Amino acid sequence: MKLNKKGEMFNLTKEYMLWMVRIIVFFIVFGVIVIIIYIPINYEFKIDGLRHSLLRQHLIYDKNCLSYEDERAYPGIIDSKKFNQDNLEKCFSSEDYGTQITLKTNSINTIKLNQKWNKFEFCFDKDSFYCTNQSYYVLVYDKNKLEPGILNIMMMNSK
Amino acid sequence: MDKKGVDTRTVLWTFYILLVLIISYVLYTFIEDSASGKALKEKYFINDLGLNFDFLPSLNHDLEIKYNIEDDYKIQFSDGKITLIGKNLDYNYVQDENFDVPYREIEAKNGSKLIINKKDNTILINTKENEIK
Repeated sequence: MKLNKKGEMFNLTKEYMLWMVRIIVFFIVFGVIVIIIYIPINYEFKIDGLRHSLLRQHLIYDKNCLSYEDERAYPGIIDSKKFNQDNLEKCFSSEDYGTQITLKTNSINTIKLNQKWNKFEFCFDKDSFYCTNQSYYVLVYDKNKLEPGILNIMMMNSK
Repeated sequence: MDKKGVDTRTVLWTFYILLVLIISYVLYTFIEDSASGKALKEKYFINDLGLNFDFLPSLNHDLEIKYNIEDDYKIQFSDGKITLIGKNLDYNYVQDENFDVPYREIEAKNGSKLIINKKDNTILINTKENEIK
């Protein structure tokens, strides 16, 4: 079959169009197969609750964070000298967690960790963020004296 | 059909067969990993390891943790992050910057042990091969 120049051009364009359709159909079919297989066998570990619990312990029991220490560390006793922004940012360094720590004794002191999260109101969107809010009865070591206090830790991370 | 048509069809069929082989291989590997629990084990392992790194600073005594490794893993310890190389799995742990954690890549082979040692403010990570369980 002989084709003129215009006919050849038409055939060539038609061929390219067909290839485009084939490629698009191929990717759609491949994507659908992967999704059909992936959804039922995609296991997720939901460990946010466990992590928050461990991280609160990290804050309270770590001698570099809040735990009072002389020759040994005393879990459950908070050293008032360690309750400052610099120390807590150093011992609890994370981009993924927004943390607000409040220590109530005779006065109330609050420290917010991670500037990235501080611009949000705490836990403003429970669908997008996982949040916990936990209070602990603690002893606070301040000026060679122990006094009772309440340590509140609010923590959030994106789901 | 002319000669050109026959050639095009041969090339097309070769291409289709190649595509089918590639897709089948990728899907088989993916399903095999999931069905055998290998993918789950890898996710569990990286999460467990990461949770330990979240937890280690809160321990005020020395500690040694041993993992029995049941597959070949390449693990990258970097700044606040543990990565299972080649598996697209990672875990961002919360760092205590007072701790000295070695940032390095570790190759843990099947049957070996991954040993994490916490001594005061230092964490050591090593592997021990062919240790009897």
